[in-house]
Amino acid sequence: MTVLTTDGGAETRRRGVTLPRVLHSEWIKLRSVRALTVGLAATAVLLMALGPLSSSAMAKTFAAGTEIDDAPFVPTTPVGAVLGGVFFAQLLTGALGVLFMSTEYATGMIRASLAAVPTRLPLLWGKALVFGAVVATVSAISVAVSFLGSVPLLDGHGVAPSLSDAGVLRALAATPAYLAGIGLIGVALAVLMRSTALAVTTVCFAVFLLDSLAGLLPASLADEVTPYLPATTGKAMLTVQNQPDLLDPLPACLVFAGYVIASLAAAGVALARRDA
Amino acid sequence: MIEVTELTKRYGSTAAVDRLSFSVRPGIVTGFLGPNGSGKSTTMRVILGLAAPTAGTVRVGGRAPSEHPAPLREIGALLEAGAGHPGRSAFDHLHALAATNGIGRRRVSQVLDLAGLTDVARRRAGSFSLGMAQRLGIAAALLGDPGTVVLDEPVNGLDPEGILWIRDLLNRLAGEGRTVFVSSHLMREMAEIAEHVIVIGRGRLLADLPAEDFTGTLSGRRVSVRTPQADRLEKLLLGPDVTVTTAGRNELSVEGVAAERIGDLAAAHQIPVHQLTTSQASLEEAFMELTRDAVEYRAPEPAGRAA
Repeated sequence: MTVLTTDGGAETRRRGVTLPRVLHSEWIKLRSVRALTVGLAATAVLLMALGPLSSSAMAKTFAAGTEIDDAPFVPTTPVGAVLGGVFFAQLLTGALGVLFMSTEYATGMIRASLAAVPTRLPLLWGKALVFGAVVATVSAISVAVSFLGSVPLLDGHGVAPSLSDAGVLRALAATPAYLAGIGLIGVALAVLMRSTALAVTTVCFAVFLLDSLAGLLPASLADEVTPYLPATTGKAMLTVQNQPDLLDPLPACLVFAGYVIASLAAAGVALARRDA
Repeated sequence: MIEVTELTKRYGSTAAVDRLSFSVRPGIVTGFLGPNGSGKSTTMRVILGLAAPTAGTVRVGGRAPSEHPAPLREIGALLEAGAGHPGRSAFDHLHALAATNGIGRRRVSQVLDLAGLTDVARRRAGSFSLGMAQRLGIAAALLGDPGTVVLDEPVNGLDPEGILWIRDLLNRLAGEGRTVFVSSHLMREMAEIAEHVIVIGRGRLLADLPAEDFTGTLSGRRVSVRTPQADRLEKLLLGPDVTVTTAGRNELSVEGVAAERIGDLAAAHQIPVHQLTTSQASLEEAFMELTRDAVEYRAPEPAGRAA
């Protein structure tokens, strides 16, 4: 048993900390905590199960010839049905993004992590890239499965969406980006707040309650503000038909990307400046 | 080699560390002593680049903490036991840290072996005892085979076997020419581990000297004598620069006279001596002496105590 390493360290000594190495490290961190892997699996299950379920409910409604309920959570369009799990999945990806970062603070791991990466920012970019890529991949596969499972259910009523229909592919493709974006906002909030409870609450508030709060504003002002809220821009990205109270998909996408970038930038400043 | 120069770290109006300068040499174990709240951990966090100094500089191996391309290969640290996700296995915890500096799985297995954790490498770190968590932290510190090792209170929570293990490990690391810097507020362990000590109180340097001198210079040698004729012996011993106190019935505590001289005197006067012991002031006593005024929070003297 020797204290001295027998690794041929000359090559690694020369290169030191690099972004790919930090990505590897963050990948190990992500896959080695059960709460995160189970949470991501749950996200996949939600997306894959709720799409066909919503589609089947929609098909039954069409079969019965009744109007579609205008209740919350009930999709009103076929693509909305395929993406029936997104509303819930975003809560999970947001919370998991928070958890992936906030546990570093809660456990004291952040000090070990920063001592290993003293330039600090690569740690944040590494975490964001790994989490964003994993969420996007998991959601992309799940949405594809949901699509394939939903089409036969809707086909009988002639409302099955086709990838060649205008906006369908865009809405499906925007879904993984949106879910990953919410996750990244979670990561950023966890850095800023260093508290799991506070950051999860804030993500939920931003995603679920901010537009209701905007409803309390004077109507004219609310109409101005609401389309620019994070969840509303998300809705615009994932909707096939342009709706008058939503931004067009491309501007919506840009506004949403702005939220993600701004929150990560703020997190970067905080991480670089604060003592750990 | 760690060089701390005029280091000041302020939190609001409180200076946790106040113009502190010292250097830690390679090849020996250096103890970092001070009461709780004296600024030891803050100093160590600055040395690791985790906290930014308000003023002054810190150099490890000649460079600032953030300037090392592969910091784990330069400086290894144990800051707190169990600093890691409780749901992650010991192996994955170390592997994640190692990966950032391009350190491979083989080295991870090596340090687990070194820390005696190979059998529990796949267990969740949250299930570890405090002693095992300390060992995991020490394994993390050694990942990069660093030239400098900084350990904050490493003996906390270790059983006697663990303390022996860490003492042996630190001596071995120092013997290999590394810089070993170990903090503690407990003197007893430090007395047996450190060759050199740096003592701080309220963020200021109180002493920076070989551990031997630390105990030697602060109080003179004391000899205790047990004899049925304590009164007679006391009269014989008294003289300039000699203090004799009665330590108990038939027992004297003598300062200023060597044990040999006391024995000779007693023999010459036919005074029976049952016990003659030289006691050196312990590191602990020396430390108490030195930090008496530097303890930040002290319990008030018991009320009504006779002056």
